[in-house]
Parts: sequence; C-alpha cells; structure tokens
Amino acid sequence: MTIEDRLRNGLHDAADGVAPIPDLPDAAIQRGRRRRTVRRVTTAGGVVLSVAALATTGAVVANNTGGGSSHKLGVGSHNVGTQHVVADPWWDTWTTDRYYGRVDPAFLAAARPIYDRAAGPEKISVYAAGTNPDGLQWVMFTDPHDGYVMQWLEGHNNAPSYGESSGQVTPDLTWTSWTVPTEATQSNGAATVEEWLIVVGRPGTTTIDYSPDGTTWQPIDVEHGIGVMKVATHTGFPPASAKVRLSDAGGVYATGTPAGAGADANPSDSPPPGTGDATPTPTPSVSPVSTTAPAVSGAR
Amino acid sequence: MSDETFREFVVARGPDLTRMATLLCRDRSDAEDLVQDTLASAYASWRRIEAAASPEAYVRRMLVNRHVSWWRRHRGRVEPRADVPDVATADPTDATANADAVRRMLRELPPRQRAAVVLRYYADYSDNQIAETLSCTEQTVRSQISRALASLREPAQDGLTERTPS
Repeated sequence: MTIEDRLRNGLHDAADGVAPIPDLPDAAIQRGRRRRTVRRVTTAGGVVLSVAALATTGAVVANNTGGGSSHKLGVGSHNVGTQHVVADPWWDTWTTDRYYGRVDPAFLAAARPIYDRAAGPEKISVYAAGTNPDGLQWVMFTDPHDGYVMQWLEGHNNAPSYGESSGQVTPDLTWTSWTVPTEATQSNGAATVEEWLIVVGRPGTTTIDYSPDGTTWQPIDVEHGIGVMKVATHTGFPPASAKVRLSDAGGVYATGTPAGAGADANPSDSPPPGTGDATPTPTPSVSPVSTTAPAVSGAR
Repeated sequence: MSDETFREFVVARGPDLTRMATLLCRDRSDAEDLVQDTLASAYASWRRIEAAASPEAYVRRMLVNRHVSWWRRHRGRVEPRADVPDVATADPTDATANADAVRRMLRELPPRQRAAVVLRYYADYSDNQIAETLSCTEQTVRSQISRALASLREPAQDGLTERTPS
C-alpha cells in the first residue's frame, strides 16, 4: 500500500468521524444576515457606504467624533489582525486613477463575477488599487449595480478571493475599515505579528496624524494620500482612545487649523516602534491601467 | 435572496463542508468557525453563487481560500463549542487510529500544503482543480503535494495502518 493510499484512507477515516454542526443552516443564515446588516451605514451626507469588510478578520473602525476634526479608532468585534486599514469617509469625492503598485488588469477581469451581474458586462469605477509587496492585490471600486457604493476586493495571483465578499458597515460609523494580511503567519501561536495602520485618505491629503491617547498627535508617513504606520508587534492595537485625523489637499484639518502647525504635536510622544520603517504600500508612480475595469465581455 | 435554496444547500452540503474544514483546520472549533464564516459570506452573496455552474464548488473554494488566508492573517478569533465532541466516538479500530494519526500529521503541514493534500486525497481533485482552487499553477500544486508527501512519508509509515481501502 502506497503512502498515498494510506493517506487517502486516513483522511476518509478522519472525515467519517466528524460530527455535524448543530443547527448549521439557521446559524449560517443568522450570521449572514448580521453580516449584511452590521455593515450598513448612512454617512452624515446620507450616502450609504459599503465596503467589503472582510468581516472575519481583525477590524479597526473609526468613529466620527462629531466635530469632524478627528476620528476615534476602535477595535472591531475581532481584534486580531496584521493590518488595519481605515478609509476616508469622503471617498465619494475621490477621483479615480489612483494606483499604488500596478494592479494587473487580469485581476480586475477575474473579478468580474463580483461586479458583473446578470445584466452583462459593465464597467466599474476604480478609485484606488494596488499590489502589496506580499503579492496581495486589492482594488476599491464602485459598481452601478450596487448603487455606486464603495467596495473592496482583494486577492492573489490575479485571482480575487471570493471568500471576501462585499459588505457594509455599521450605522453609527462614518468611516469603515478592514484588514488585509501582510505576512504569512503559519506557525500556530506565533508571538510576533506586525501591526500596521493604513489610513486611506482622499487624493491630495497631505497630512495624516495618529494619536494613541486622543490628545497628542504624531504624523504618519503619507504617500499619495495614504498614510502607513507600523504600530507595534502586539495585538492590543488600537488603544482605547486612539484617533486619527487627516488634512485636506490644501494641508488644512477639518477644524481649519493648518496641518503640521504643531499646536498639539508632542515631541515626547515618540512614534511607536518601527514607525517609518519600510512601508507595506507598493512603490508609487506606476502607470495607471485604466479608470475602469477592463471591458469584460462574454458569459460568466 | 432565497433563504430556502440557501437552507437546502446548507442542509445538503454542510456536513461535507464541515468534514473538509475539519481536515483543513487544527481543531474542531476552528473548523466550525471556518464553516460558519464561509457560509455567512456565501449567504451574503447567495444570489450570485446560486447562479454559478456549481455552487458547491464555489463555496468549497471559498472555504479553502478562507482557510489559507485565515492562517495568513493569524486570526485569533475562536468560538469553541464545548458541547460538540471533536469526533464521533467509536470503538478503537484501525479507522479510529488512522483518523487520529492523519489529523496529527496534517497539523504539521503548512496551510497550503495541507489544503492541497486534502483536496487531492480527500476530495479527489485533479491538479488543475486544485490549482484553480488555490489560485496557483499546476506545477505549484505538484510541488506542494510532493513536499507534503515527503514530510508525511515517515509518520505515515509509522502511524497509518495498512488496510484495504473502504
């Protein structure tokens, strides 16, 4: 008997002994409904924001503090992740053509089932896209069939991960976030998991600050409106009072204060370990591919 | 959204998905979470999945991909169910010993190798099907399986009993 035969037998033996999950259909439906409901948000402007929330992953959410000057970071229901990505609530003001690292058009073409509905080929508007150093491909786009709500899609090797379907964010949030992987962490119980905070601002955002305590601020490296900061190698991020704030393209915070004026910058508030290290964002200045997905055609 | 067709799908395919998840994951609670997570996502996109040529293959792919990326993310969320036994109890037969041994061996494999092995030797997928599921080339699939078998050869000789395939 070959090893393959032994393995095949062993796998079937192991599978045969698996007990079914009680009430699985009802549990799955309830969880699926909750997932859809939990991510629906009406922003201050009345825009329904939808982001593929990768609901199963660690998530950081940014709560509007009301004043519009900063946004509180909070931990989602699942608090372990390797990257925490926060999107600007004013994504609908973004222009398209934002590419950070070439995203292969084949990835978008392969993503067609996500946005190409029964109506046939249609174009999506790509607001930002990129390929991370670890090979993760991502795209933020709107789809007319979903009412032009922002969606996130990720994948590898030009293959979208269909496990990460689009979702929506909670009603009391004006920002949303999701988590994407930065490194393979295959070892069970590994002690070091890098924590990154990535804030996707509007195009032209020149300054993004992070505050671990809500009062003292430290700048995050910003490129092309995206701020990246290596937070730490712990799983306690973010602190309870953590906030972020962004400037507009003119370098002015929502309060009207010029960004970088130093009013509340605290020199003693040293950046967390690793701040300013090589960022996981891809190399900038790449050639845009297109403002929309490839003109896909044919049956799915 | 058709809850009814989704429910029918879960009733019919849920046990098989659970078996596969149990082979992929290190423990029962991870497997349950993986299945529930996958099905919750499937529910959210059910209209699209239902229209696919093979909803089962689609959801299986979701499950495997989610498993692989799950490990990549080093997720910490676990929702164990204390009231569910890890496996059905049975007499200590060769089958039970084999099941225990193969689970131990699978735990030692990296997630993608584990997935490739499960898809090949449990689900009987071809190289091409595995490559599609794992979003890699067939050559990579063969390489992953070859490495897995090399790792498993010795423990399999010692831990898996010879018997006629059932």
